[in-house]
Amino acid sequence: MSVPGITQTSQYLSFILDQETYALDITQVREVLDFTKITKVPRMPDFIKGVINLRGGVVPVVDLRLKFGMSQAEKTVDTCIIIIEINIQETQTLLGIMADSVQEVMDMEPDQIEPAPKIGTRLKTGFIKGMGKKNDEFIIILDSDKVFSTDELTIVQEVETNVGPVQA
Amino acid sequence: MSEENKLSEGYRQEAQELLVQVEESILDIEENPDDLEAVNRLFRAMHTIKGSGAMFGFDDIAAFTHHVESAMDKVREGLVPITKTLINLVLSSRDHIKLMLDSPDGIGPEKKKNGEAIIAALRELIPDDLPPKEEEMEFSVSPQPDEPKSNLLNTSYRIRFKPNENIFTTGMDPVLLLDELGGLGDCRISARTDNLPELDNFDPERLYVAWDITLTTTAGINAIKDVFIFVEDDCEISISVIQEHGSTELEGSLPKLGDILVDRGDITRKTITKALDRQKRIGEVLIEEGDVSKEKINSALKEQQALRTVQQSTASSSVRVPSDRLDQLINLVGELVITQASLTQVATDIDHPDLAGPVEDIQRLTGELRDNVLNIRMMPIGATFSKFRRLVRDLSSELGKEINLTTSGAETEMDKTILERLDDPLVHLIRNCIDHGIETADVREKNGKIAAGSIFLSAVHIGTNVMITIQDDGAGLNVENILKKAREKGLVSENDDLSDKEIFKLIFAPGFSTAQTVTSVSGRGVGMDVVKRTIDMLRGTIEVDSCPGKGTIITLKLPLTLAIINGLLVTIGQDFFVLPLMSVQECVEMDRKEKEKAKGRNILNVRGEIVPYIRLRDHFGINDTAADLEHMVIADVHSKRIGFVVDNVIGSHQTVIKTLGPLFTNINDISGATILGDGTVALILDTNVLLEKVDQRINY
Amino acid sequence: MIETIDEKGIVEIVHQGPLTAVQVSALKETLTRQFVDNTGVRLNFSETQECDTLGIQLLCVFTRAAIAQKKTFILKGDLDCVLDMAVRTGLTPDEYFLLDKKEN
Repeated sequence: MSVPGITQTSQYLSFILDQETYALDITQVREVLDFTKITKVPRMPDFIKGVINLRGGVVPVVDLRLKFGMSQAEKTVDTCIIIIEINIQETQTLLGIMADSVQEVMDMEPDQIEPAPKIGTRLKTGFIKGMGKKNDEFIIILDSDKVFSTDELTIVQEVETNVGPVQA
Repeated sequence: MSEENKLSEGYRQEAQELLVQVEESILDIEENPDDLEAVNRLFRAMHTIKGSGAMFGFDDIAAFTHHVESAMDKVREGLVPITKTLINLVLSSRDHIKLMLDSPDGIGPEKKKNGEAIIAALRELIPDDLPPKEEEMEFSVSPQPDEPKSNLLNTSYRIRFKPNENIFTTGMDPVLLLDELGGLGDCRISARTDNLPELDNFDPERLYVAWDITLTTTAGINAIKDVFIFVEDDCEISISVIQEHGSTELEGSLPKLGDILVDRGDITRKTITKALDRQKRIGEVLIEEGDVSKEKINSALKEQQALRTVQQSTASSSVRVPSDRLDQLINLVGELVITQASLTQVATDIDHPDLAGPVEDIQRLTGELRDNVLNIRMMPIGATFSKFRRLVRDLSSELGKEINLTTSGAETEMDKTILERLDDPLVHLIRNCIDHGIETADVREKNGKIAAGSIFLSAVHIGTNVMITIQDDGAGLNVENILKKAREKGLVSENDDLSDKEIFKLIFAPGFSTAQTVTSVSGRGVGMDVVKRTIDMLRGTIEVDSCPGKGTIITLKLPLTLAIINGLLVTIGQDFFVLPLMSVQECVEMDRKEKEKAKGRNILNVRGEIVPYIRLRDHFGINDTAADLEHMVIADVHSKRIGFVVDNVIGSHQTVIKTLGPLFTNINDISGATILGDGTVALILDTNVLLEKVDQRINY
Repeated sequence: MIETIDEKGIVEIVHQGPLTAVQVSALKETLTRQFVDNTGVRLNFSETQECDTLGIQLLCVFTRAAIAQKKTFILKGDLDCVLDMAVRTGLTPDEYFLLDKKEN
């Protein structure tokens, strides 16, 4: 059984989030950075960690653990930021995603990939493009178009301030 | 681009600019038919379009423009009265020339007929002996022989001008002619007062002063002659070429002072030779000997000076550069400013005395470079304004309304990109004024207004912003109609209690249109939301105010530039923020005691003045504990003093604006980000939006 | 015209209104008279916003006359329009006139 849309051998970058292996299509990945200082942007949802300086440009970073409802991880020497290219509101834009660690770049044949199971995963089935299998280990291949869709990302939280109406 | 293409592109641009002049001049003439200066300007513009057109192979344009030029020549000579028909014909001619310029592959046969019709109409209006056919042919094949280079070469002319002593009895002040010469190029004016009599014989109402002028211009000798066209009969005028720049072997060798004096006929060659023998500075000798007046020497010196300047500054005074090269330059300067900031940081850390000087120099140079580069992009809004004169004229006559457009602040400068993107929204807003705002003459008279409506367009600098207002004295917005329509469209519910201002805002909602009838003029209600979106994109704001029966005023606020601002760097907790420095007035300390005095109200007493403030820590939901001593930055936003409370104020910072990207479009009180010297990203706050939020919370 | 005389016998005249073709004849008479009666004239242009070429020419003639008669002739007050016209007509102010700069 194969996944519609996956017809040829592709390369994937695998990484770890909370002891599970995830993967992204390598064509979307621009580079992998060591963890660096992130500037928080107020009133964004928790999973949007903020912005970083990428060689003079400003790039937002998301924490997929929080996005997928896992607990926040302690930073380790392995923590890194994967820079990918996505399409938000019809503009190509760079996005950083935090990963516990990056594993490897691997080839996968279409027949190695199965459709996402309807149940039994921690995240929305829609986010999963397919389940790859390698050395008896399952790899969750993310559908970045869905995970990083405009609706999923552009949510602003109104902070309730403790300031009431005042009379001057 | 091939060399030839570059040349014709250059012509196109030049001609487009001249067409703007044509339009302005003819509209000036329409307003004031006695404005002979405008007639002259119009003639000159047409003349140049024709001349250069023939030179660069735009034969059809040259041939067509020739007819218009001859017609204008007759007008200039006063042989043809200025009528509405004539003005309309000139405007159509201008449009036709523009069409030809915009269609490099030639215009269709239908349009060609159009052009012929215009020429025919011009001929009918101005029948008297047009130049013979052969001459026309000559125009269309080759440039006129007597002025082949005048449009290309920068040439220095010597002009000697002695007005008639009684010139003032005609009401003409010759200084106006001098000013006009100044408008043609680099102009150095020396007055000659040798004819000035002693006090006893002096008639103060006669003019005794004469002038020697050195003019360096690309406009050609005819343009100079045109300046004197109304006085040439009773004044002594001589114009001669001193030097053509960029063409002759003379280049590089400056004429000697003595040569200039001889050339001018102020002195003979023999006297010079005699003076030269004395081995002193020739000017001093000649004065000492009484051979020539000091004034004449000074005048000759000025001419020499003028030639020197031109030679130093190469032949042309302006350069056209494609705007993408300029954008690239600005990006580079942006990067440079960031790098310079980090260099300064490193230098501070190292703290070596030898480093401090050069680092400071680089900081200063970078700042100057940045300002200069940004200045290149600044353009006065006047060109945009003048486009609207035509728009108002044409639309109002199409709709049978009489409307006067007045403008102020045409010299207000703003970034070219902003100006360009502002074009469409402004056109739309003005169309709306003409179409929906201003009533027809009979309705106006019935309501006790003067028949002619008026639109007032103004631009002014306010802090880091430019404020543009469009004001009409029309019917005003109909609150009831807007509300009714908004309810029909489901934009507001029946129960919503809205202030007038909130109702006016509804016209910017997508798909909203208040016109009872849809006209070709302002379209189908697909405009105002687009206007609003464009202004938002430029980091601007738009506001409407209206009074029934009195008129409507639309106010746009836009930033001067999109690239770099001067910012004030502050911290809250671990985070850095930048406030636009232009609006900042002062910083004060704020300790806990003072806060408690205000009893939970967000106001602070600053030297007896109550200043409302917004605590950014609360506003942004930054939760770590604050220090006992906080700082308040007091800014002037929309002429209101407002405080922004932060933990610490670091200092001013050259802020290169980076967009946050599409992910953060919903956050409107942060207008962008910038990168600090150590590579940290700081967020730039939008004080205008923050103020709105405070306004919502504070009731005065 | 408001006239005051200082201890050196220099009269100060505040010229009222424009300095143009319309006023030059009257001003010439006034100045000629004051030149006879005093050691000099200080002409104050604080009330003047307009000036033309004839105005400048008049000042030029009187500056020369003052030098010839060893009288003082100083321009003072708000000289913006006068200086502007002087520059536009090529009568460089510093060469042709004596200005009272410290009082500007």
